[in-house]
Amino acid sequence: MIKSILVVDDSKMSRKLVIRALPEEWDAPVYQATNGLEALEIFHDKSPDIIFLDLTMPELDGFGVLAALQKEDNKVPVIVISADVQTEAYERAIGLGARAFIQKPMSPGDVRKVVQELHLL
Amino acid sequence: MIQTKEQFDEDRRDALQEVVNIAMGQAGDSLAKLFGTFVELSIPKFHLCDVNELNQELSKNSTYAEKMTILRQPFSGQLRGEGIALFNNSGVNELAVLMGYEGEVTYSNEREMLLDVCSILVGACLNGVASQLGISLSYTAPTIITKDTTTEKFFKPESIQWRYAMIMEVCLTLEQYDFTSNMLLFLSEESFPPLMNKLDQMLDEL
Repeated sequence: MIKSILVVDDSKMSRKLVIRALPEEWDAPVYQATNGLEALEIFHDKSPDIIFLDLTMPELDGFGVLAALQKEDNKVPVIVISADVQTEAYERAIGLGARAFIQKPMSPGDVRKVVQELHLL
Repeated sequence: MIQTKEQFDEDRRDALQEVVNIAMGQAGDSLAKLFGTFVELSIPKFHLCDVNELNQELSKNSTYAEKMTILRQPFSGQLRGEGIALFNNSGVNELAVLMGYEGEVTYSNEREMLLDVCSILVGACLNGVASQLGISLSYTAPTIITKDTTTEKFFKPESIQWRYAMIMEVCLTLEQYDFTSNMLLFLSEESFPPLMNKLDQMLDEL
């Protein structure tokens, strides 16, 4: 059961888009971070049950966040939502433990589809 | 100009930055496929300025002090202006290696490479922007406008036909190659109302 959610993106518009696309069934608080360092800080403080993570961000990028979580052996599901649609970006993110990869621009149904596939609904 | 700058508020700027970020992701993917190597994309930086202030703004980034090759791709439609691609000179040499040219690269080969890369880069970026904003743009073929010069020497306000420059710094770097490219977008004054409207529509849908 999802009790809290972390959405990480340096774009306010993208964070809003992700939050709007979250399944209605998840009546849970949503924390927001604008870069990787802020994301890790909120993650350690609030222990969200799922993370939606952008890759290209200032301070610390999404790969850095994934690497930090992997180092901690943390199994929190991370769904990457990125404009970097290169195969290598996908492979690198999955290799660092991301559970799924959604390409931007995302459709409203993409988040629901992915969380269903991951049996998180 | 003051009015235009004020209209380009934080939300619109954030929305446009994200639109360009997505478009550049697609452009980066196209280049990665062409070169067969990963293309690292920087976070797009924006600055809207009058063309009279262009050199002053560009001088804040040391990249533009280097000698560069500059190409343009004009576009028209609901937005009108020019996409400008700037390549560092050493990057031009690396392009030949990346694109599989062997031996001495002739002027004709180099021209062909630069035009191809500019077309992919600027074309993919503008296509990505247009499709997200729901507008249609027409493009004119890219051309090399100068080689081996600095932006300060090249961008003379009196010779630029556009009123505004959207300094859209997106740096593409290729792993293991000394290749970087930056982009600028010149926009006509009449392009701003439709651009703002489209961004507002996006924001209203949130």
